[in-house]
Amino acid sequence: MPHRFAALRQKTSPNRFTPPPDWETVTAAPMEGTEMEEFWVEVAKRAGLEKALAEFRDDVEAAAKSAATAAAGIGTVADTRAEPWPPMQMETRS
Amino acid sequence: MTELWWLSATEIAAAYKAKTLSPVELMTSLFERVARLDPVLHAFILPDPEAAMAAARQAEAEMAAGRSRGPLHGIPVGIKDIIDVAGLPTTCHSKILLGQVAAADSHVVAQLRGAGAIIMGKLSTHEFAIGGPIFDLPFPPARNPWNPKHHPGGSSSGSGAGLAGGLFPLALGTDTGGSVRNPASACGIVGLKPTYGLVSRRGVFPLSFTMDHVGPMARTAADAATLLDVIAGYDPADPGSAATAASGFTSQIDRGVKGLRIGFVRHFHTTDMVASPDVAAALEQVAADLTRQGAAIRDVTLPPLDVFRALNRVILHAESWAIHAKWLQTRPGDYGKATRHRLMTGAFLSAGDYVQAQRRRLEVIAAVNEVFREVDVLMLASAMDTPAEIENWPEVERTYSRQARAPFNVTGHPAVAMMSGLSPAGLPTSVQFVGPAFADGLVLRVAAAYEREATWHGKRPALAA
Repeated sequence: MPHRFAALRQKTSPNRFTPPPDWETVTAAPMEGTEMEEFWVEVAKRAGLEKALAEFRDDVEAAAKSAATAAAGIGTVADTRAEPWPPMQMETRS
Repeated sequence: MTELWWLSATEIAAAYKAKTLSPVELMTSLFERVARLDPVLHAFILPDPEAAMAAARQAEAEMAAGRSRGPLHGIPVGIKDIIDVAGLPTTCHSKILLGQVAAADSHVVAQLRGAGAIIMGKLSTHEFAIGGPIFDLPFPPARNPWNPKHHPGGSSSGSGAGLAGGLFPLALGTDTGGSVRNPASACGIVGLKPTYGLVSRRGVFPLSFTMDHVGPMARTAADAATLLDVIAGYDPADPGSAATAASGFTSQIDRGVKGLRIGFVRHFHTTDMVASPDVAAALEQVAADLTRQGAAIRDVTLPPLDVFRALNRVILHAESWAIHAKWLQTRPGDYGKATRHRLMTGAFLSAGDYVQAQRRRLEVIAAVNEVFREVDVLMLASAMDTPAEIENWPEVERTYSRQARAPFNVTGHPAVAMMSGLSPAGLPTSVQFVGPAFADGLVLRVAAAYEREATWHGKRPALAA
């Protein structure tokens, strides 16, 4: 599955990171141009960022791009059943 | 005799014991230096000379009465301004929190006071420990003592600048994506991100709950160990605090590296993210120096640097959005531009992104732990470049992300960054040493051994001479 902002990332930030091994799977561009802009604007509104959209639209767009780039870079989890919890709990050296 | 402002904490303690120096004499000297240099360095947001001088007089009286509170008794410490000090503002270098005065000490500051340390004041940071060295904030950004045209790293920027400038011998910083180790690298000092859970974060403004660390910063590895000895320990009020927390970090500092197996994560700076020639050459020299001291060095492979960096960003932005959403929704104009853009990133990450990142995180932690079956310590790059000019924002932004520190915020392993040389432009290069969980003492021991061999810690910036 391509990330929901994959097109935005591919279009605007092609050199920000080295593609992960599963990069080939991220090929479809689900949305382009105006459609993509409408989407991240809608997400921003749902997040309560109307004021930021009105006053700092370029910052909101940059944040959307940054999120897309980061999320695409984490790769896939090898074990489908792997659990995320606890997120942090260091073990002592045994 | 060494000027008072360049004395290490260890040397100060020895001078107190020999009665060749008093806390009041030291504090007077340091605050004179702050008055002279801080208008250029901007290490302090708020120096607190009245309280510090009162604490110095108290320490002096206690020492005269024969009472010792330990190795930090009467030792000055600077505190990053996201860490609460009772009665002083915690501004996080932001308009958002101007006027907010801490009602109580953070756990680490309480530990310091209990050990007799003297709090000198609050230090500059990047806004909320994430923004960057920017100018649209209520206080100016700290500058690098090696060349004030350059940034001092961050986000614990005042801590690094003040140490390298001789304003104080010890400081506290915090590290979520490398923020203790970045200024340590840029300013040529020593900064440790301890094992996650070793040092309590109670009373520290959060950035990312599962990656925030409080760490000691100093001009020598031994001083960092002394500071860690005081601030480490279990705190039931910090949900991330580890009940197995250890102490005794200073006791192993002089054991050297003979017989240690050191894994060189060379691919981070040669293929994953190519370092500048100065940084790469210095790393090879570090390997040669440690080999000469009896360490066995060989290359090891970790997951790609970009995977760690993506995990760090997704987790950090998701967690920081939870903290800042309300202010970003209602007061976006009260953040600096760089901070606003970074903190809004979390609004565009899904719950699935965050959970997937936490699942991947456990995989990369396991991968790093696997390498520690074969080696005792890792060595690797910290910053891939020397610090950029502070007013060249595009270059600052480009080089800030060129680092190999974030992996260990993701994994929680202890990591120390320190000076590895000076570039032809006179700016510090750096190296990192990383150990298994709770082997913080081992990491500092390697740092101390390298320090003895390379002696970079004796170099002083011309500005601050």
